Amino acid sequence: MAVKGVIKKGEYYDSVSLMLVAREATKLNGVEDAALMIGTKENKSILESSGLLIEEFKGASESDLLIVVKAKDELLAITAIQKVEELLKTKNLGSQESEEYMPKSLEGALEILPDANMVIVSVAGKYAAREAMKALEHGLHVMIFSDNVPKDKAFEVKKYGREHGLLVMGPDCGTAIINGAPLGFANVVNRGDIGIVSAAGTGLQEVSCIISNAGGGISQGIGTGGIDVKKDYQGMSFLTGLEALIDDPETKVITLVSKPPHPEVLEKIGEILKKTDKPVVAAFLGADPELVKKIGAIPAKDLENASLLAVSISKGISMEDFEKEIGRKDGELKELASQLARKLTGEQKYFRGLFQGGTLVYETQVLLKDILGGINSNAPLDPSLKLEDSWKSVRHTAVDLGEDEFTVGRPHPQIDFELRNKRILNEANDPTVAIIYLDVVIGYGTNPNPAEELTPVIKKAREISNAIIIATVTGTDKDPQDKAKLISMLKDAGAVVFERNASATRLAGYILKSIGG
Amino acid sequence: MMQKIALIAESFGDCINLNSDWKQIRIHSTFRNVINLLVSSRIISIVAPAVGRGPNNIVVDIDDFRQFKYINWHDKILYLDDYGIDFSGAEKYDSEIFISSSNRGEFMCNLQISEKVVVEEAPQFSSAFLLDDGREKFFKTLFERNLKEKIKITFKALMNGYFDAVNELKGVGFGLTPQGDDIINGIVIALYIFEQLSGVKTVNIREKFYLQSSNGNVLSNTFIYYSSVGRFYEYFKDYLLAILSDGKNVESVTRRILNFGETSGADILTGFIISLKKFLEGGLLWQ
Repeated sequence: MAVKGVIKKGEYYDSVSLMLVAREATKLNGVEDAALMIGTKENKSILESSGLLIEEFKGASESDLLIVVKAKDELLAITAIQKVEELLKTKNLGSQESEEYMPKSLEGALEILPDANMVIVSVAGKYAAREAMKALEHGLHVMIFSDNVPKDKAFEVKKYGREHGLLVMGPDCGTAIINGAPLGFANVVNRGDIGIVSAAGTGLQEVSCIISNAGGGISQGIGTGGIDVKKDYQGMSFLTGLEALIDDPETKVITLVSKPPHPEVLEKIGEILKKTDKPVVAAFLGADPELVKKIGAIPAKDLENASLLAVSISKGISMEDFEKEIGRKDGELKELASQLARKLTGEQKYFRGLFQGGTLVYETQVLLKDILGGINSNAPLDPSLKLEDSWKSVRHTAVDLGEDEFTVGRPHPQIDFELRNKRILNEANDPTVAIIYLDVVIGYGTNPNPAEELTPVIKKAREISNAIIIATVTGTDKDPQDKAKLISMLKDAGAVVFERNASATRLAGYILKSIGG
Repeated sequence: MMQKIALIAESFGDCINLNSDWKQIRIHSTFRNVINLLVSSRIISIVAPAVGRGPNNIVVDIDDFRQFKYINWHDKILYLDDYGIDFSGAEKYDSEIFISSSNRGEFMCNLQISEKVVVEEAPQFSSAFLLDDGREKFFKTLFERNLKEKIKITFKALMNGYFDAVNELKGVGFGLTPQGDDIINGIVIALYIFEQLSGVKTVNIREKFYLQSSNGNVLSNTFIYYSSVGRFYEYFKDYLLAILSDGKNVESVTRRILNFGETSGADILTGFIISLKKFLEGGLLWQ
């Protein structure tokens, strides 16, 4: 055995990060033990009792970070230490100086990239509008990732963009795909001729993934942020995005995704649609299809339907073929639902949805509304169904874990699974729960190892309860997380897995219907 | 130096003297939500609103503090790089806590609720195994097990009246504020609350804890110091007020602390809950 270590001066990390990196190190070839910790006298005594104290560490101070690895031989130990240092750097976990030049102003950034035509703004909400306005004044399109932008400022920015023909994606725009580049939380999708304007971040991810997985491709995916289609903002960014797709020669089919826009916004969308012959599919979740038809768009009942409609138009495939496929799959879903329902006890009757994606929780509520007559939520369709305490489920419940109440002081649930994992086990301990429903959104910006994070918890939940666990994965085979392996691991853990939220929700609906939910 | 733009301070702690001359100032450490400044031998932290107010915190709504590389104090203005901080509209945070009366029965019940949340929801690598030994299983490698045992043995000794065990507990743990220091911080807070509830004076023993546990870690020293003089960070003040009142929000305020600084919140709560229960059962453990 060889024990090797290094001392890092002036680098600070939190305890969990250090423990997690140490854990990763112990998984490396030939490594028996590893530790990362500050050099206090007491820690050195623990290292000593663990056979990990090397001579160099004896002089280390309390502000030094000690990295030590015990491995089969010296080479493996040194290699492991190099890997640990890489992990610390790439994860950018702590407080470190950066060698790379990072421009601190828009002007500085434009000196490096003079041909750039778009700026992503991700600063505190109160400063975001000012930074966005600066970019617009330079004639650049803007994606505002920040939320909590004051209303009047957001309005000013959107108005300026609208008046000058510049895209203002956001505020609170988490996803976009521009000229094939995924921005924010986004997936690696096929390029193609379907353009999307979406006032829903996860909605854009779900639709672009279903399109890509069904053989279609995306020209542009323009996010606008959810507030845009509300009365106050008059759909200013949505309309500019729509016009951009109409003018874009690469875009042959347009898909619109949103919660039902305000009637005034809907009317304005209709005015613009009069100017184009391009086919437009609209998934305005929960909206009256007749109203959608009136503005000249093809109504889609859910995100799956919208995506497949767009692909069928793009590829010249008859939608009937897709409908037949959906009809056949629907029959299979009903059969599967009745098999699964038989395994439940009489006491098990409630649905518990724990969502990473805001649009997906909304879509699920829309689709289950008729069966369940309403679901309690922290983001409900009907305000009377708002959960009093979002941490506690009541009867049928669907929780959006991306809401501010869950994300203050911790990363978005698409990155950090800890909170949901605890909640899964809480639900499993409730004997009245029939279905635990999970979405797993992968792609850039999201958790790199969702299978490792989620499958042990699903297995544990299955040990505790015989509740049915349904998971829907939003992603493509080209995403960095290896979607096929993820799905296979989720299935092995005992989940019923889908790649479209609407299908997964329909299964849940059929199960609940058959047990009288 | 030209002030390019004013960063707006939303609040500042009541232990920060904005009129003093901060000549000896440097950046201690920087994280996404916090930039810790070393001013003389104490820490002043500039924090994002998500971290919250505190006796030595300046709250400024900035997304990522890691963008700043320099600190300067010039003409009574604090600069991050060349961005001056404007305190004109900032509210002064009152970090003291006043307890008028309490219902001991209800208080114990609230403490139990809080303990349950910690046991069920604390991060795996935290010291919550001291509350529930079922959590010891999370410590897997030899090194992790040794660390856990060290914390367990020294904490037990301390709770059995052996004060010098504080020398063995301080500094034990991985990160910026080691678990041992956070547990000690929890004990010191418990001492203050015990004094408020029982009238038994704990000021000397609190000071002794601070002096004995002071080491080269200025962050830990700062946290323990403020607890020893009865000054609390907002998240902990809210917690104390909740468990000492009707207990309505005990679960949510406990969870808020658990979200603080990876394991730190859970470690402080573990030290606080166990030691306060001990004091209430049998009085002060050390003379």
